[in-house]
Amino acid sequence: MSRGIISLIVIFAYMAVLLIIGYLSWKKTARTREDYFLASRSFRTIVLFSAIFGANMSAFVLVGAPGLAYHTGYAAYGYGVGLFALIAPIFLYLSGYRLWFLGKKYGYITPAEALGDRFSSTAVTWVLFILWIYYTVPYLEISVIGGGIVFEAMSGNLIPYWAGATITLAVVFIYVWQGGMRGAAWVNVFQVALFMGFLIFAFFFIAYRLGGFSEATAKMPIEKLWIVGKGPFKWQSWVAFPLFITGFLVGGLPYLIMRVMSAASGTNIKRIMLIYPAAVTCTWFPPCIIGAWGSGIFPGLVGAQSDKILPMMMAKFAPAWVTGMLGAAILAAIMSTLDGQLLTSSNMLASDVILRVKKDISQVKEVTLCRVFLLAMCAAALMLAIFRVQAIFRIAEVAFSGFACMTPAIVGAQYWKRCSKWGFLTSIIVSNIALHLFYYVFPKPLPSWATLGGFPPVVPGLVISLVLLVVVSLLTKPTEDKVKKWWDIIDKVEANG
Amino acid sequence: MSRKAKKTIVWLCVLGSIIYHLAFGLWGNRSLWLGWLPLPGFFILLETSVVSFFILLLFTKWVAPKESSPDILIRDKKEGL
Repeated sequence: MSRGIISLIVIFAYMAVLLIIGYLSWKKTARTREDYFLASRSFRTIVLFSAIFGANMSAFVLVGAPGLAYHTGYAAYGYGVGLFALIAPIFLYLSGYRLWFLGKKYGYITPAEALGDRFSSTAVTWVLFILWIYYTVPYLEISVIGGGIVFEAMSGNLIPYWAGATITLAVVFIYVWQGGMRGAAWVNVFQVALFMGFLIFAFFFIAYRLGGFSEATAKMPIEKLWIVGKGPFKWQSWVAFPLFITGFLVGGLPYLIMRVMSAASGTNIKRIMLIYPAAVTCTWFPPCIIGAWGSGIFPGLVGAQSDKILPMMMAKFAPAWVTGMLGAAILAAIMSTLDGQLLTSSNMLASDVILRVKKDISQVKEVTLCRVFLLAMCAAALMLAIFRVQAIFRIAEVAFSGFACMTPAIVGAQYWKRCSKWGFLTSIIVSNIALHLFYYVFPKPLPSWATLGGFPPVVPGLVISLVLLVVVSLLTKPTEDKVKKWWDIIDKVEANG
Repeated sequence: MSRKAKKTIVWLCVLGSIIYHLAFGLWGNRSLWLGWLPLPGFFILLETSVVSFFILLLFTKWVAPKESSPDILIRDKKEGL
């Protein structure tokens, strides 16, 4: 049997498990808004962790991270997650914890809905909705393209790209359509176990095939052992990537905040914060080390060619079924992010747009509407992926920074009583306009004054966001009644500390 | 110790971790070997998992509020959206 056929058997077995879990979740899911969108806020530690971690870890960890480590050596690990493991859970807490208990009290389903209520402003809800959808759509396209490429590559071209993209999207659509948040989170438990387990296994397996850890490392070029300093990264990137890009990013991603809002208790949220560092280490360390080892085994790869280093190492050292497992693991990482993006986008369309315009809609109709939007989003994502629309693709360049620049306002609204609607709106809108100017209008390379001395655009973007939040809030009037409604509860909960 | 002091300690630990990471970026140099694992890489690994875990443990104990009484969060229909 060919390698491609064996890989396809493993991948289809993985897909079958997802469909079975999706079907089981369907049996448990009621057609009420709180149950379909947030699984009745019932997730305990393992399911909550998998839902959040699965959505947070994209295929980058299996493709981009080893590719980066191929060029930069061990330093890729410290660069990627050295600080992220600490900062990401803190931002999850800062953006999500208060929204979780306020949501429990007041019935909020989406963060845009909650923050709109905080400022008594439909404009706040819609601005958040528009920006979140604008930045999420390119990621939908990229995820679906990733699914198509994995099928095509792993099957040895037996499955064409368009069919692979369609299968990936169809399976995600089915389990999200069936079980909503519960379906996605239950499936995520399996997916996170699969990609994390596979990476740990691959790390030991490849080390064994290379003759042990010392032997594997000895095959690497000496410069790949440099960590930083005279190593491959500028210090500005070394700090900005894990702190200002991926750290703040976590605080601004709607699909992560919504998953925090589905927690059963505050204790569950605190527990997942404690699991995060170990999980990040187990997930990032193996691919970075394998990628760095790969630089000694397959020298001479240029640019993005190194993104294939993990499959190349597996193909050289592992039997076909293990390569098939790699395909399933990459798809697991892709799909666990894709389901969060699809569910949250269609949920926001139903809750933040339709429900605002047509208030008397029943809960059953709202769930049906969300499912219709889900289908529409899937169709749109598939079209974008098949035609590889470049205009949408380019938005992805700015999306990470765009999400990150929304975080100061989202956190400020929850922790600073004086934060006003205008402070919130100007902070988000102006910082995102500035990012677009940095990325698409200003000539490259950007002048030093614009980048605050060589930082990526997200850093000046965050400064603009923070300054405007504070200054405009102090110059304008806060919304007293709703602030009282929120802080009555916040003070009671905090008094327990 | 007051809650304010505890919170300050935790945020100082977070800041310390960021400064450590920055210092590594500025002055970190070629690895010292520790068998197959370069020593600075080993510290980064510690920073990622062990140190972060303990800072987060303090965070969840000292900064985050304890589990509140369920009565506070019971939804009154009039209070909902």
